[in-house]
Amino acid sequence: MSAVSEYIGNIKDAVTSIFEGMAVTASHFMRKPYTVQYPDRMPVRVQDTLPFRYRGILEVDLEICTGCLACERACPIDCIVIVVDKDPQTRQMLLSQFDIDIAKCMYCGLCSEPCPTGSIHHTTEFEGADYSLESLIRRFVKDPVMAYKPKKGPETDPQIAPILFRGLNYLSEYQVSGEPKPIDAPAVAITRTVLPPLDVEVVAGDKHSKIHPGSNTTKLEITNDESSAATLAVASNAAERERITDAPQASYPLLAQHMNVQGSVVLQAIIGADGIIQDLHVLSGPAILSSAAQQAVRAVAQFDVEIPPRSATLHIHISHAPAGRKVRHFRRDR
Amino acid sequence: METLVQNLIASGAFGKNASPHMVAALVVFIMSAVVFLGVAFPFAGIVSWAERRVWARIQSRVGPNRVGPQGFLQWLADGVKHVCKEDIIPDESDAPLFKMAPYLVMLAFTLPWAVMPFSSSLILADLNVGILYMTSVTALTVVGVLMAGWASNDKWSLIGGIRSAAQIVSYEIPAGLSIFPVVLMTGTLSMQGIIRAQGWAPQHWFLFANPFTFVAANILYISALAEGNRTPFDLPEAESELVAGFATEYSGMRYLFFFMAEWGNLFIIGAIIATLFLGGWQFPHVTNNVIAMNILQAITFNVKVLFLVFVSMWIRATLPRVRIDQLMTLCWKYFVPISFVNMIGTAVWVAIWPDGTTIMGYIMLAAAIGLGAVFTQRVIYYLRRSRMEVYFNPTI
Repeated sequence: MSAVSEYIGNIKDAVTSIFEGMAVTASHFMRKPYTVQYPDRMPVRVQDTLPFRYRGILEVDLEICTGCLACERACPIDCIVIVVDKDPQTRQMLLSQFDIDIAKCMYCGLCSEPCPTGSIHHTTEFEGADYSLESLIRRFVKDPVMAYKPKKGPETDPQIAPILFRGLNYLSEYQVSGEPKPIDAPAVAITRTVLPPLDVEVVAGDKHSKIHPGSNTTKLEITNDESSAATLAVASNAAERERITDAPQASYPLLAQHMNVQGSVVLQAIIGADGIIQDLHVLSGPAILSSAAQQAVRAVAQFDVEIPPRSATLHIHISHAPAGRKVRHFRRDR
Repeated sequence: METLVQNLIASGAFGKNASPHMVAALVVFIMSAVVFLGVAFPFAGIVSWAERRVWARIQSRVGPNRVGPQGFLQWLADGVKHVCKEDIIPDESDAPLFKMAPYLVMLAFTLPWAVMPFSSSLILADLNVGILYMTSVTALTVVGVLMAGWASNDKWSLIGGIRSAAQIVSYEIPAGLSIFPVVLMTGTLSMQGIIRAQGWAPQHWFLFANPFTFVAANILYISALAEGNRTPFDLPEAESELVAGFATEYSGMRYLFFFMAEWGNLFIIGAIIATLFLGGWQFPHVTNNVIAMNILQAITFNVKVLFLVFVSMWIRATLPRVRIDQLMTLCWKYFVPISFVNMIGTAVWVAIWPDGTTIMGYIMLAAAIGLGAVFTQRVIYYLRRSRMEVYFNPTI
């Protein structure tokens, strides 16, 4: 008897599992492929979607290179060769050679760290394939050029100033700000309207705040675990609206949109007494969405808040709702 | 056929003393060439492309989409590449057998097209033993595969060939037994006769004639997949264990022949099922124009076959490969006994209702629609759980 029931059970298992498996694959058949068709069928170049600090192929801005050789000394594999001469007449530093062997470079970033002006820096370019090793040596000096001499005051030369600004900005990213100790963490709920396609939804605990597109109000609710919810600031006046419109609008990352990535980013924020976010870092979430989430929070989080500085955990849900295209979206069953 | 030959001789195109046999042979050659070069070989190629696109979408990929519009010419590029490659014959191999094996596999793929019932008149030869001929010539594959495995003088090839032989010989039995219910109900082995015994409406198909034929159709389809060395039964060419099985030592055009036969066999598998259980080319009589009717019938037949081909791609993307003992267990412990039950059950059914029952067709059809509804509900459930947008666009 048990043999017969086992036999029947085997048939039942086989039929039901194949039925279920076919349903799973059929549902996958109706989804959009994740494939990004690099390099030619992309809405944007991948290089443009990479972060500012991406360690791609090295580049040198000769206009602001001081010829200090700090990078050459820092390079652990000696792929940088710099020749600096002193001009006998003018007694100025003359750069006659600045070569970087990209074939040897391991993109460690140690050369750009000691650079005083941010002259040597990584780019987001990564497509370095070539036909010979010889052509992978990047020779930045064609004719000997004068090394840059830092001025006492601010740079006045209109041609050099933006390059120097960019270089120093590149360097400043290394500066680690002193991190205030997090106070007991209350949950913060922010409801705000954003321009499509970015859709920000903030979840506090089990409370979901609904976004109403079209309204221009910004609302910050800080809920303590013990006490009841208290609305601290509601800004819906004209001035506030204007400020929000002026605030840098975060846009949906193009690569993420192309890859159909959506999800939640959890951020840890330190909100100062003036209501401005002082420090913001990512706790978890898709890396590709984190910068957009940070931008979105920074764009809204300037408030008149009568509270002491405190730390808050923000859950940002980014979903993909491009304007002008009807999206058939199945909601998760609860 | 005879009138065509007589008309051709009367037209004087072959001279006054033309032999009717020679003219008939010429006509057969030309028709075969048209069928193979115009239908069978391009079909095998296009299926190879379509299959890759279907898997790709199921695996959230894109698949070949660069050669031609949506990669449609990929199969042509692959074919040309294989033809241009060097044909390597290993020194230690049995050269005559090694060379002959792909042709035998190809022969087993081309012969069934002689009885392929595309429409009520578009059939090369309506043999009175059509379905028997079909199953017997497709079984020729085993000779070619075993020959390839042996002649390669390679252990992988030999194991692949022997596996294939065991598999095909085993699955011939449930496949043959699953054809019997239909033969019992119609009393004929002719392809056209079997199709004419069914109607265009689903409730008149043999698939829904009684519960036994429904099971028989499923067993026949799975057995046919096993005979065609399709996943989940592709043990003879299990790349993770046998390199490429019986095709390990082959290269160039001979290798292409094996795989063209494998993809082309999908059409034959679909055609057998469509003929026996899905009403073949049956189409409602909408016009008295014979040519128009034939075209509609051919479209109906091809749609049914292509649906079954799609299902086999879908199965290939879903199920993992079975082990050799599981393969044999499935055949001998499950399919063979169940096939016997089907055969006896159908015999009893035919004895009770010699002309069939109309009401059973409707009941079975309703049950099948219910099953389809449950399936759709499951698909929607998985789509919802994924929280992904539905994307039906086949081009990307």
